[in-house]
Amino acid sequence: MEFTVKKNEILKELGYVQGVVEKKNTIPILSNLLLEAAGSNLTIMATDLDVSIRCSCPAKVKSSGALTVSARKVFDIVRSLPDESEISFKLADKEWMAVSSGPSRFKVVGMHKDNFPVIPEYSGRKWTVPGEVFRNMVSRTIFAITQEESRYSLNGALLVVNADGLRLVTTDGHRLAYIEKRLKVEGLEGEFRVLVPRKTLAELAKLAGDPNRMVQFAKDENHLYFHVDGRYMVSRQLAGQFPNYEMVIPKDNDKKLLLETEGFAEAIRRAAIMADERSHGIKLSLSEGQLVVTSSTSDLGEARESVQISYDGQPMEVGFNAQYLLDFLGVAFDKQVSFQLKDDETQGLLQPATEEDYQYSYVVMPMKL
Amino acid sequence: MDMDAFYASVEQRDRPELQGKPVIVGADPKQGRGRGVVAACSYEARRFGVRSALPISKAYRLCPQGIYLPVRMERYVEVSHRIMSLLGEYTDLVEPLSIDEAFLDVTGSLRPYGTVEALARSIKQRVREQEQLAASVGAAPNKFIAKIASDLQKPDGLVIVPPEAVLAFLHPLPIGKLWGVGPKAEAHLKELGIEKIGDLARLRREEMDRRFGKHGQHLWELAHGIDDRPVVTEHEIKSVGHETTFERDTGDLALLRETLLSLSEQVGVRLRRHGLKGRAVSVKLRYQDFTTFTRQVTLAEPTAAAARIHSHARELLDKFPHSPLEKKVRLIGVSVGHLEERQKGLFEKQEDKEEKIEGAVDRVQEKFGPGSLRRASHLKDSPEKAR
Repeated sequence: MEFTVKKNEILKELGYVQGVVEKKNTIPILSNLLLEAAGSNLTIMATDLDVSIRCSCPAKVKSSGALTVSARKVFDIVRSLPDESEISFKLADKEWMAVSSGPSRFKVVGMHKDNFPVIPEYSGRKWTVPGEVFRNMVSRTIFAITQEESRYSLNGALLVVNADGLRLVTTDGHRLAYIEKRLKVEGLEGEFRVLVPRKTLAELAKLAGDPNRMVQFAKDENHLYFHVDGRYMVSRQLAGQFPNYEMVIPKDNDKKLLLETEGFAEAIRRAAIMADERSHGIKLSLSEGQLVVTSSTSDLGEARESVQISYDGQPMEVGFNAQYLLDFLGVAFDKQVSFQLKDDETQGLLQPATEEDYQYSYVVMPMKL
Repeated sequence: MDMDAFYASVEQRDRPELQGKPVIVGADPKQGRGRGVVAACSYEARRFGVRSALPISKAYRLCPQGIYLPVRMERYVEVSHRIMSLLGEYTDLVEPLSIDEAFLDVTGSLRPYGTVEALARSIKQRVREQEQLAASVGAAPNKFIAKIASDLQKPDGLVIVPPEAVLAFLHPLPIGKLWGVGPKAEAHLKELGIEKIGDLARLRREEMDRRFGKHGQHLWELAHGIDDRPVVTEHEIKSVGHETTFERDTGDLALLRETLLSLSEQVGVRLRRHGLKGRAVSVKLRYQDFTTFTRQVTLAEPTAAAARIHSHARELLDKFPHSPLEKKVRLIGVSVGHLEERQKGLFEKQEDKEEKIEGAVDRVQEKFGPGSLRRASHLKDSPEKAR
């Protein structure tokens, strides 16, 4: 195998595959990329057995072939070379890969491609959705996915697709993000629901990053398939039961606030400075015309912020994790948000006040203070 | 895990021309007139007799050709963070002891590696690959032995002390290696003819108590390899636990289970009083020979409900290495850790129900006294039944 590629062209693809490469290093070959040169293309593949990706870039192929090499080292080498340089790869003895460009020479230890897992293929029916829709939906829900690996079925998002649109739901058991986009999904009959791993969502958002890209996707029993602009990603679906999220979206929260997104976020950020560092707990005190945000830690001090609001209901107090509120306000993408509350035990409902493109809701459980 | 000559090694790694040279990190020696001390030194410098905490002027006299560098704490902290997060990939239970040492509880992380040794080697190798730094690892059934083991073959050491080898490992060591024995105590013990840890272990517990009080008992326990402090991460320093020592060592399973129930109830009451819930239930057993073991389980949903704590505690009871039937139990304890902030959950309806019942029980007992409302299974010992 011998081929030459342009730095900028291969670097872009290496950037996409890097996120998929297994970080934990339990099976050595999973830290490698599979490079395949044939025709006028270099194909780059990576997998962690749950998520696999295949990208390609133009290459001048002198002789075709394949080898796996350390993803990290190839990425670091390519990144370090001058822009616009041409980089040559050549299979040397004993499965070494010689990499050279101008005066720079590297030899990277490789492993035979036969041990590299086979990436599942799909060639059936696909549906098409603008990439921007996926990216938007992912960025506004991914933060609410649980970080605890033991809560397996919460370790991803619920994706519901039907002829009327897409819905993505995430939760960590304390808060829940729900976003829906109405659009025609051509050729889809009925509805399907799948659990998508967090990593898949994060990588999908990257692939769908450029404007005007379209995402083609499909599913079978165990896998999800995504084609974006010549790149191909396969993901295992998560098994398990997603909790009954509809049940926890509050319907009769009678205390409704309209808040300036940035002003509210600023007040929380400042109040949170004195909050307990573990719980991030802040107190919201609601009274006529005013919302007061306070926090205190017995051995450090306290903070108080007030926000003018139009409110004439009953006074009430409720505690929240400041970070949970800020997570939402950071991606509300609206000048104003509505915040619906009931009492200090019932989940609050946050929504952008005027946005029409998406139905976006965020449910957050209070905290006992 | 304990990094070898950490500050000095980071300097040698960052500046390869310093490798193989005596590097001393600390105060400015000012040609031997400097004040302050040595913070750390490379193994090359140690050959000249330089040690950490030595006055820098003395170090300069011992090793004038040494390369003296200022402390770059920010840099060491940065490297330390990376190492600690690498350790976090092996287990959630990482307790940093200092910038370059940490305890890891790998009880639940062994499976992918097969053996403790394979896991320990993997840690050393990955630290070396990622940071080009050497680490020494000591593996043992408890923190005290592990700490000594990590220190024994420095640099680049690996010492594994399996449970059955603890005493053989410990007893030949000089008494000064025992935690809590400083230079003064060491001199005092030596006057009594106690040179080695084994010498102390041969004394009777009561003797140590008489001579040194509570601290003496603690030393006696350490000398017998007894140290049941858990590995605590920064985020779960707190746990709520209760334990009880039986008047007579017991092998009665029914009694143990019953005791677990009342301990679980006490733990539940305290959790609810503080508005806390925990995600980890652990049970501790101390056998008649003072060997002590703990077993822990992590729950999907945090709890403050005695019923749930007890049902997990009962299951844990079967997971201990010795059946109480063959080795009697001296002490039993239940604790709930991984405490959650007072954040309420969205999907905790079922859980809520149990806690509400127990919350009501708490209120009845507050009003009418601790024995006023109790589980039927507790009735056995009650005065009502005795009548």
